[in-house]
Amino acid sequence: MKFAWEHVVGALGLVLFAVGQYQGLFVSPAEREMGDVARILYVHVPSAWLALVAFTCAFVAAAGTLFTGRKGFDALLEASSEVGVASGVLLMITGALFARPTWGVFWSWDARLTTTAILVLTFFGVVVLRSLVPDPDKRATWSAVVTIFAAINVPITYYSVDWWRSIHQMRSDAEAMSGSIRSVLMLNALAFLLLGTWLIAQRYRLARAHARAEEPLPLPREEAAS
Amino acid sequence: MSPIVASVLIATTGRIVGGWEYVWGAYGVTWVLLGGYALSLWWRRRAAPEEAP
Repeated sequence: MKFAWEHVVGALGLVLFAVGQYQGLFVSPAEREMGDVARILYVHVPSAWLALVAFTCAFVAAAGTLFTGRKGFDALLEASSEVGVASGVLLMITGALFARPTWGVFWSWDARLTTTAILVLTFFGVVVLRSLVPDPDKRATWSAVVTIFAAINVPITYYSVDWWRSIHQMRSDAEAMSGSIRSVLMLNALAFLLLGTWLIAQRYRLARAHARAEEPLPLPREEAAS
Repeated sequence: MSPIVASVLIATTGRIVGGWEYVWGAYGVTWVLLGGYALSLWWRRRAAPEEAP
């Protein structure tokens, strides 16, 4: 494997991740009302942000695929959709583990939770669709169209706590958080974004490698008449 | 800490007490999922047909 820029990003992300996780578990103070359970937010919120960034990236790649037909956009769509789904699954598991001690249940059919579940499931559908369509051109077009429809749910999920009455807490105002909690949250968020960038870059290269292998071999040329 | 003691503490202090098992669970899932996905990418790239330019 050749050296590439994303390994620098990944290494920096890993260092920040280690520091951020340690601070989240052992250094950050317990929250005033949620106590130590609030430490879950240091993994739950960054995974939510990473999922939304990855799905938005997939949407941009889908638009790029439809407008330009460039294979690079299709590979980016594949990469960011898969990383978004992985991050979305993490978001939902950590959310359930946060909900149980704070709400008393692992799951509620609340607007934020429901739209998030639909978002992750539809992008999982994009990943499955790509594995089922053998023709590269049809796969690129179909998955780009489905991705654009799936991405409509990104702003709906983000603003769901404002638009509907929700058990989920409102979007936090950075100014309302105490400095120590905010700094640990931002450190973990940055680490997740850097690691997410590394994961997307790795997955992108894998998709490009598969796309190159699918390209038809050039037809043999006739030798020039001597 | 028993659920009864935790309930009494929440009622008297207004703060959720304990819950470290959920905290460790959330962090453990995060490490396993991110690490496992990174490993799967490494493995799939090794098995990929050829390196992209």
